[in-house]
Amino acid sequence: MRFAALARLAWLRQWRDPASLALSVLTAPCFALLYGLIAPGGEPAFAGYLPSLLVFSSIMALFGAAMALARERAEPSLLLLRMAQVDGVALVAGFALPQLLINLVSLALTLGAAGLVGFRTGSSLAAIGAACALASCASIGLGLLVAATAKSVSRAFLSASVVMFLQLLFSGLLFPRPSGPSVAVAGHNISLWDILPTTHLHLLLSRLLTTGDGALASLRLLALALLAALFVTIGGLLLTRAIRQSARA
Amino acid sequence: MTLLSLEAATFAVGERQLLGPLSLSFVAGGCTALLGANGSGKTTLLRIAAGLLAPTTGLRTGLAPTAIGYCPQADPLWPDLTATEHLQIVGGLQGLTASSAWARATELLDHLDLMPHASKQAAMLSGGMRRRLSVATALVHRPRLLLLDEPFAGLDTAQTARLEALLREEASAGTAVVVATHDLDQAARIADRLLLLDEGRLLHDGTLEALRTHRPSHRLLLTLREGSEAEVAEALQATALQVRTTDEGLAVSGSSVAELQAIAASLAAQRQNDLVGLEIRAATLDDLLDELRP
Repeated sequence: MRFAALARLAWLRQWRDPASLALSVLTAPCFALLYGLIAPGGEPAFAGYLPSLLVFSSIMALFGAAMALARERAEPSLLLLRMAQVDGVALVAGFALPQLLINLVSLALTLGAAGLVGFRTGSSLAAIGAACALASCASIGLGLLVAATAKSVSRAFLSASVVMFLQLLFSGLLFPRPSGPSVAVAGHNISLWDILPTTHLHLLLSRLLTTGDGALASLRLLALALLAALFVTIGGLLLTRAIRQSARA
Repeated sequence: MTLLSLEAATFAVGERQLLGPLSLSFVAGGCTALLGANGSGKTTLLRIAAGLLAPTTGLRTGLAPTAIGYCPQADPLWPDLTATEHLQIVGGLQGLTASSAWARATELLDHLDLMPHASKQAAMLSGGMRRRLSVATALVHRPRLLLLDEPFAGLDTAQTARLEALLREEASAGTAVVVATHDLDQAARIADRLLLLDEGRLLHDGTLEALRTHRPSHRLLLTLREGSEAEVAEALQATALQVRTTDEGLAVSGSSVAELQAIAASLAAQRQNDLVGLEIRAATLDDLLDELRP
């Protein structure tokens, strides 16, 4: 019952801000359409562009979750959540689910838009969807962490931007991945930058959307699943604690 | 049945003690008015009772926050949600089924005259409507203890009467209702128990009648010519009257208007040149606090 009430609350608050909702859902599909219609280079260039676009789309979930939850923390209505003693699982699930749905709708529209302008992939759409869904979950987890430490929406925006820059600059999305400390685990070299969900999502999508390399894809999917679980758990715990101790309510 | 007890509870921020030590309890049914000036500790006491603050020392025992309805001074509302949505969502958060939350929302909106505004977002409601909706969110899960911090702020006379009636109804149904207010007359109308707080200390815990029995019910306020106050005060004190120097002038306490009228007449005759003005009025909250302060 509590989860349903929280999910309804989170969804209604998204719905009542249609401009933000439209930006969250339509930005990536519009960019896919725009690129396909006006950019030169045809399908090969598009295959390089689309993974980056989907990674950006997953990063949008970080901003969405961080700012929505920071708003809840900053408003007097937080008292209603405190008095109901909402548990961490219901809180995280209730607020994360609408964000995840928004992100998945955006992803589906982006792939649809790419298809409309002629992009075709030999990979399974389910695998692409799973990768993006896991990356969105990890992003939402990072959003929970940001919201747990931010006392206002503007602070959450700035903190989310820092996390976004970290992901853009060190995941290999914009620039070659810098070498960093690494350890070998079961024959695989794990770098410091593997802690960033975008590292895995970018590599995964690049392969899935071009060559369809299944073996490496499974490992990257597993890494994304572990990161999503880690960030959502830590973020959820910290956020629940922050809400219970909030002096505002 | 005792719902909640505080035993030697204090609350301090750093070196500054904001509340206590105080011991009190709330039992099922009845309405308690929590009176005190700004900064007297009313809100801190309510927040400790609601379970939102832990006492620095001492104990709070009794109901969990989920069995308590708390309405703070700042309306705890989501600005973009409608009145109905608020009550349904808070009902859901408090564990009510969707149909129970719907029924209770309808009942409360009707009771608080909010039905015509049920589909308006909170940001579009007037201050008084938002206040009533805030009270409704505290009531939606039928709490056993209802804590309201200045619930009548911004309400017109008709809405005040409606809310007072609802609180009396809740109290007679077994809910322990606690209302923080500045208004002594309002406290007298709704409450059967008065808690008087001053600078975090509990000055009185009992009925208004008990308070008035032991404390003067009226005050004679004298405005005197500059320089004559001390002399007049001394003369009045010599006749065993309670006299205090206040911001408004010299205050003489009495248990009846007739007693104070006699004093006023005598002063007017004897100290005609020193007397600039006089007024007899019922003791206000500030007057009572003046009297009770050690």
